[in-house]
Amino acid sequence: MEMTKNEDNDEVDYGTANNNVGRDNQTLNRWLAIFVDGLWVDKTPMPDSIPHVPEVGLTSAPLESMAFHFAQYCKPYSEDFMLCKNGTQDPEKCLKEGRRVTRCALDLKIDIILNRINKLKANCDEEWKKHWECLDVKNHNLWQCRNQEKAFNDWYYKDDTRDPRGSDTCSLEEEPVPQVKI
Amino acid sequence: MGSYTLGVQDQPPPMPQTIAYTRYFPRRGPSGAVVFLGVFATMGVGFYYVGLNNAERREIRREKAWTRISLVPLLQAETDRDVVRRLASARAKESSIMQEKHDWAAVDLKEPVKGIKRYGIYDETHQHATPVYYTDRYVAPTYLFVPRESGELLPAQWWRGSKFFTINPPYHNRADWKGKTDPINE
Repeated sequence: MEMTKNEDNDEVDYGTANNNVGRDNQTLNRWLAIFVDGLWVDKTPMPDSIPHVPEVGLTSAPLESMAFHFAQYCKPYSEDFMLCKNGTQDPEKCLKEGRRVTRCALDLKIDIILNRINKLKANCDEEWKKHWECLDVKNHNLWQCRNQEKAFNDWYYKDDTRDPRGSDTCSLEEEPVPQVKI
Repeated sequence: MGSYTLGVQDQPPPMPQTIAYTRYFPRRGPSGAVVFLGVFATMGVGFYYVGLNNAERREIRREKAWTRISLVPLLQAETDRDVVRRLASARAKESSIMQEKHDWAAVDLKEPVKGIKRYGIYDETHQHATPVYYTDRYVAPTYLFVPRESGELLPAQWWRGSKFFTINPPYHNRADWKGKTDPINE
């Protein structure tokens, strides 16, 4: 979001190289909030009318290692949110679905850390930690951390029927387009 | 005097009947067509492996793309909440600044305002109240007013001393850092 303080309304202020005040708004991406001029620090808390949800608080490497598991675990909520987003650009209209997605991701994260998914006593989140630590070292390339990924997936899907590996799910079209739930 | 015999003299070799003066290159080895075929066969084998590798790289790229696609709802929800919070705060500030002017709607492009001519051009003489946008869809605000005196707008690289001399840039979050403090996480 640019800032403008134009007293003279006839002249368009094109600003300097860093501060493109008169920039064309067609080039701005309307879905994401991009702050092109610098950092806009605003520490005002959320309005009380909006329910509070704890943030997931994961950095890029744990998120990336968790991405496919998150997609499987939180599929209905993610689809719900994206369908809502397709209907409107207004961020306030999809806050509820967004909260659900965040809560599901948090649930997954805590389940992995506390090992509730597998109910094992030892190795709480060692496998997950090793995978994302390897990713941190290898430039977030998934193909360079296959050993740790295999160990993590083996641990995650131990004694579990949800394991999609080895099955033909990629080439089968199961529910290719999420249906609108009326 | 008498007859004498010649000893063994160093004679030139006897003259052959025919002197082979023509050049002679025996036709041996693969023909040109075979050479070309060999070259193209080698290239074909090489390109086959290149194709295999490209397919593998494509799948790796697809996996990376799907990793990011899977994370979009989570990250977009976070950003949405952040945007709602920031807009609410900006709206509150702008309303408090413009308290005395009673027909001012902060951060609202659909509110009819006097002086807005066609295509959003401001013209003070145009006193018929028209909004900038007439649509029912959501319109994101393109510009936000941030007072220059408030410390809310920071240059993206606030830790640089200058824009030009960037040798040995200082690192923040270090115990022996004596420069500017991190204004976001102080």
